[in-house]
Amino acid sequence: MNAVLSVKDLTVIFSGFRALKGVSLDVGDREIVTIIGPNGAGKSTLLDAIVGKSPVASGHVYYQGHEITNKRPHAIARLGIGRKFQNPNVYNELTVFENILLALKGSHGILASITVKLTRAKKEKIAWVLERIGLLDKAFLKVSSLSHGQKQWVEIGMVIAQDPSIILLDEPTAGMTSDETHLTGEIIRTISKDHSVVVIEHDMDFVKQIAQRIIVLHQGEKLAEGSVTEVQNNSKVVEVYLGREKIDIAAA
Amino acid sequence: MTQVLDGVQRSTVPVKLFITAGIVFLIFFILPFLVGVFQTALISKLLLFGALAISLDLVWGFTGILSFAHGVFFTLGGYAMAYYLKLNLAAANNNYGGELPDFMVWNGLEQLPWFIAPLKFLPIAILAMVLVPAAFAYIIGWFIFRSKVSGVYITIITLAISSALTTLFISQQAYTGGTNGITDVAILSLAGIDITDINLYWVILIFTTLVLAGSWWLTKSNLGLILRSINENERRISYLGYDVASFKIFIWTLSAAIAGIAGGLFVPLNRFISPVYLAVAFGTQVVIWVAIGGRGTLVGPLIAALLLGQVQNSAERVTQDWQLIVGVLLLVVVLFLPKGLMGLVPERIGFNKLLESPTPNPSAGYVRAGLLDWFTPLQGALRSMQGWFSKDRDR
Repeated sequence: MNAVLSVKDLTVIFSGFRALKGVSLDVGDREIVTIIGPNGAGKSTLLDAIVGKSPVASGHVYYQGHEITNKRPHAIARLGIGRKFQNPNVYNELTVFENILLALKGSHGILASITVKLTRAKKEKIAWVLERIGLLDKAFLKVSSLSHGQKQWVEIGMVIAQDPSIILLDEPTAGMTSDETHLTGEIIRTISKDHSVVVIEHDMDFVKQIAQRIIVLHQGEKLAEGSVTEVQNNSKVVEVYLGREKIDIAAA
Repeated sequence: MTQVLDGVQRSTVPVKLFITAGIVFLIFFILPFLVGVFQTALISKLLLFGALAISLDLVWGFTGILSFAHGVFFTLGGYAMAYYLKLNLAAANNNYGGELPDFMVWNGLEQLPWFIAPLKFLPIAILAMVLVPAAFAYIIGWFIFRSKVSGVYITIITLAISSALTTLFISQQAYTGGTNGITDVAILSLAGIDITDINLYWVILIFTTLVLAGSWWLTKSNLGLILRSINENERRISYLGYDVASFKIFIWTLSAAIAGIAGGLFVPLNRFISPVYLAVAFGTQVVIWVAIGGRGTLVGPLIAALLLGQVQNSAERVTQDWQLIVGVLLLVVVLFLPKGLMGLVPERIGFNKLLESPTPNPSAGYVRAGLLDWFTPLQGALRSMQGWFSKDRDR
């Protein structure tokens, strides 16, 4: 497979605790990969290690064939990896428009930031992003006035605006109503037409809505990998993780 | 689809602001003819303090780095200019009739130190006035911001720098004039014209105007947006591809350069420079101007420096304890006006908005704000007070 992102034998250690124990993962072009697993399985740590937030103890991260292991976060971001954090990490004191403007792909140097003009093309791009996340009519509101779910969309919008080849979403539906969750699923399906997407998620209905390939993490190790049905019927997964949810899935 | 965003037109918005600024500039320009020599000198000094406050606002108000070291950058620029003026004192005016400044003679120096000698030439002195504080700030900034020191620790480092330099300058009496500093300097003279009194006032007025306009222009660009984002959440913005440390080092160094020029212009006015301006007390005063004026408003700190200077001047005539009055004022602002004096300006005038936001809310309609509002500041202030109280209740 021609992988956009390739993780090989990744190990992350936090003061003696092995949060990830040799996890490998490939993400193909325009593919949606969903990562599930109980709390403490190492899901967020895996994303942290990819974007340079957590130091990698051993193993490698390759992006389009180039090694990016332990590079600085802004350098990794510039290569084309966008990350949405678990809690909405947006700029409350800025407007929705400004949040997206900050994230827009382009030169991120000091000089450029002073001389850059707000061109028609940029405005169109921002409008395009805002339309995708359904917040075009809220463009000039301060983010602090939005609901929790809308803030999550603003951050998804910021990641889209970066125009990365691969988008990493950490629990994009946390704290959303079921309508908002469904809408988020549709947003993710739309953006996967242009980008590879990795999603961490708990909500099984949502996983079924978007998933193509699922990876199950457990105690820092990869437990299983496959389609929704394959994972659901994997006995190890049922044992350690799905348990109660299995009934939900069967009922749904 | 993009019509919604057409309201965003940066270039057409600030016409009204420019007209207001032009009128204010003209009033300040003719002010020396209306007030006495004493007030002209006082306002000159306060305009320089205002420029210094604006430089701190770029760093603290916008980027969130609280610094007590801006007096240091100011004074470093001041010493550069003071050496120039001292070395160009006509030999006849020098106590000892020689080329060597008096304090060096007293302290037994027989030759001008090699690192001070070049400051005899104006271009070199001007370069030193800008580059010494800037380079000093760059080196400090490089270590602080690259090493990921953050928040209150940066502030503690700036306090230490201020104390350390005060001690150093006092101890190196032969080179710096010790506690007295460099006194009895020559009058600044360019191309045969003495830059004193009203001429100096105008030079200072133009400098402060340029600092204000330049800072405003800079913070209206994407840079302003990035600086404010660093203030709110610097980690997030690095994941958008911005190298946060380099932005911090840039604004920190630029701010020090502005402070240095202000210090340089302060010497021909004040006719001396001393370690008093290196000390933490002066650095704290700069912080107070920004806090009272309103962080992140640029014009607020300038207004605060002008007003507090006048308050101090009036209070000094009544009582020696003028600092008490400033202290009470600071308490009032901190307790009741978290946005400083600029928080009193009603939002509808949009002055705050224009300064804060590169993409103003078109629906706010401040561009068409009634002229009437400009002449009823009391009404406006009341309205914003109401807004403030109701906002507070919501919390």
